[in-house]
Amino acid sequence: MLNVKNLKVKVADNNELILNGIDLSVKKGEIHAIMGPNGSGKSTFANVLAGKPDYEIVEGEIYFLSNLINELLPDERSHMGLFLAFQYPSEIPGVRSFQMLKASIDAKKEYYKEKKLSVREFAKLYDSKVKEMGMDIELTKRSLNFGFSGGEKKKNEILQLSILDPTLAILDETDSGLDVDALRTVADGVNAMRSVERSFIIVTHYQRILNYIVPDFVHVLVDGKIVKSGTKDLAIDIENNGYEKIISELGS
Amino acid sequence: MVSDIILNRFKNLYEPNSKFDKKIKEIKFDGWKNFNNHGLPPSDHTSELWKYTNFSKLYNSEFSKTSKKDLELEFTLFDKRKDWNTIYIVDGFYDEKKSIISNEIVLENALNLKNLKYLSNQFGSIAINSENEMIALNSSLMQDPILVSIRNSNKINNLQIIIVNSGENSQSSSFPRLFVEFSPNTKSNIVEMYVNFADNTNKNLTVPVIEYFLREKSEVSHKRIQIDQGNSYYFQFDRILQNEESRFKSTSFSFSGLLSRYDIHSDLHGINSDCSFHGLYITDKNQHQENEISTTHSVERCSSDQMFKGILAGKSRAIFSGKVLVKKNAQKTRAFQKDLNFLLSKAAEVDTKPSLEIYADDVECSHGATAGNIDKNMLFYLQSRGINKDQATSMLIRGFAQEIIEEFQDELLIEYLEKLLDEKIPNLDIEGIM
Ligand SMILES: Nc1ncnc2c1ncn2[C@@H]1O[C@H](COP(=O)(O)OP(=O)(O)O)[C@@H](O)[C@H]1O
Ligand SMILES: [Mg+2]
Repeated sequence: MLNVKNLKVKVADNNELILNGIDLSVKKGEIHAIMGPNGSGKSTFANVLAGKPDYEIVEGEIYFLSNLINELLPDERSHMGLFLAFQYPSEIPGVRSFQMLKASIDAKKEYYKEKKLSVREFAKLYDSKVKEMGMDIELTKRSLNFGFSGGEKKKNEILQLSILDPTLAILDETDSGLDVDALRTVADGVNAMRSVERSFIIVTHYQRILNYIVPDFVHVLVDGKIVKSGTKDLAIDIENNGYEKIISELGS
Repeated sequence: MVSDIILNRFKNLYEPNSKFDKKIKEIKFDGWKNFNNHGLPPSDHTSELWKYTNFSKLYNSEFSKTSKKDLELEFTLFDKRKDWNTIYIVDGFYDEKKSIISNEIVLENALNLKNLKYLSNQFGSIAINSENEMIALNSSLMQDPILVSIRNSNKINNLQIIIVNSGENSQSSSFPRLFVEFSPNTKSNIVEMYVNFADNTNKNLTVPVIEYFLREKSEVSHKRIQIDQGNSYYFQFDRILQNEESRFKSTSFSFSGLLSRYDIHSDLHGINSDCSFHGLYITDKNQHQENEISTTHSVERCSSDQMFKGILAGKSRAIFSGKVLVKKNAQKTRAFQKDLNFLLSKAAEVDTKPSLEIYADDVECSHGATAGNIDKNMLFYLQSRGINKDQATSMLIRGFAQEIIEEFQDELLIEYLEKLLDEKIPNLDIEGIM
């Protein structure tokens, strides 16, 4: 599904590499967790996969569904089935969730030359998903993410995930700032979407969410490089001993 | 000298011996005197009121007289609203045939004041000739001043004022003038709309002046739409006088012409009165839009609020000059002021000068202004949801405008403006920004 080879990334006005040769292979139906200390490059990695133009790929390849996507626009990646749930979702004045998602779905249908959903058909889908997420319908009438609490913003990301129905979902610290109940709702939302056809990359700082969404693989990212990979046990090890232990093992 | 040329040009239009009511004729005479003393604003930018206005374009045009005509207009927006009082002013003249006036409001023109004779003393005292050269010019040359009194306090009074430039006369000039009185305890919806039918080759000048006189406890919801285009010059003055416990809530939308100015001022003259001026201006290509928004707190315990948004594309320029004057006795004043701008092209320019001038000590005031480009994180967010860059950009511009559009709270106008924005926004010249 996703194949990342020796990915090196920087921002335009600074030659220092933020991602320093990442290799990662995600197969159909797998859940990968990417953990790492703050500033290690987790969000950068997630954003580069989604095609954020701030970043420049210096070296390496990203293959998604066997296509090289290095040069593809974010919207094209979205049409192919890639989805990023943002760590800090933007507040967008005057644009409502319903309106944006309708435009998203329309764009995708247009891309594949399929028939668009009518407003009524889409409203039906939308309302049922809002209900599933247990979201306040009032929120969806507001400007996107405006006056949303941290938890509401994250739920809203998962709402989009479930409506856009991607083949690869990248969740960037969707767990941070959530109380236990909100974490549960978010995890339930994700678990409901697990399937043999769909893969997930769960980016997180803490092991906590992995109690709810059990990963097949865990990778530790330090200074823009995956320094250790393992299974669920690696996450528990980090929970107990912190990142310091892994970092000091590297040094020795 | 340039202003002499202009003076001579307008002299041909000045008719001192008009048949207007005596008081109104005096205003006309006084206007011409003032205009003669000052001429048009100097082009050397020395006048603070006209600091950014380039009148040289104007100096190259002849501005001829318009005449009263009976025209078919291709303007159907308000056709559905037969239940609204409607005043059509076409090329400066009141068009009685197109207008609809119910017997709940009183309308008279200045040739023949009967029931509204008492208002002739107020006429010209809210929009004052000595205040502004353009107001003086309007007073001198007003073709067909109209006085209106809104009196029914048992229902909401709806009045739409449609100022039309027919485009029939090339390089014409027109000077619509209205005075509207709101009786105590009345509630009214006022819609002001300017439509320009002139094509690109047709330079013309339109200078409307409207005086609003709010008696105590009257409430006015004022909605204004200016759809200008091409090579025209448009200077609009709304002047408001508010008595005790009156409310004036204004929402404005300006789509600029070559050189446009919207100039609104309210004098909060009775305690516990309140006024709010909100608006959106959009400029593109080589357009120039000025917004001169000002409020005077003359007495205590009044509140005012100014909030304008600008969208600028192409090589256009916009000016927001927001002023709040709080006089010495105006204690317990609350005044807020904000101007937010969205710059869509490198060549577009905005000058925003919010200013507070406060002489009282017990006041609560704030002001602020911003000018920014498209936020690239927002853009990426939408793109990551499958929306392409052009569409995402349009959505962001549209979203920025939406807050003001919704304030119109008038289904017909909102639908009209949304359609207009959907057409115009994708065609704005946003070259070179991203
Ligand atoms: N757009 C950017 N411009 C400049 N520096 C950036 C940018 N994005 C990330 N960085 C830098 O790259 C490093 C990794 O950041 P980030 O990917 O956000 O880390 P994490 O998500 O693991 O906390 C940080 O030092 C950060 O300052
Ligand atoms: Mg991060």
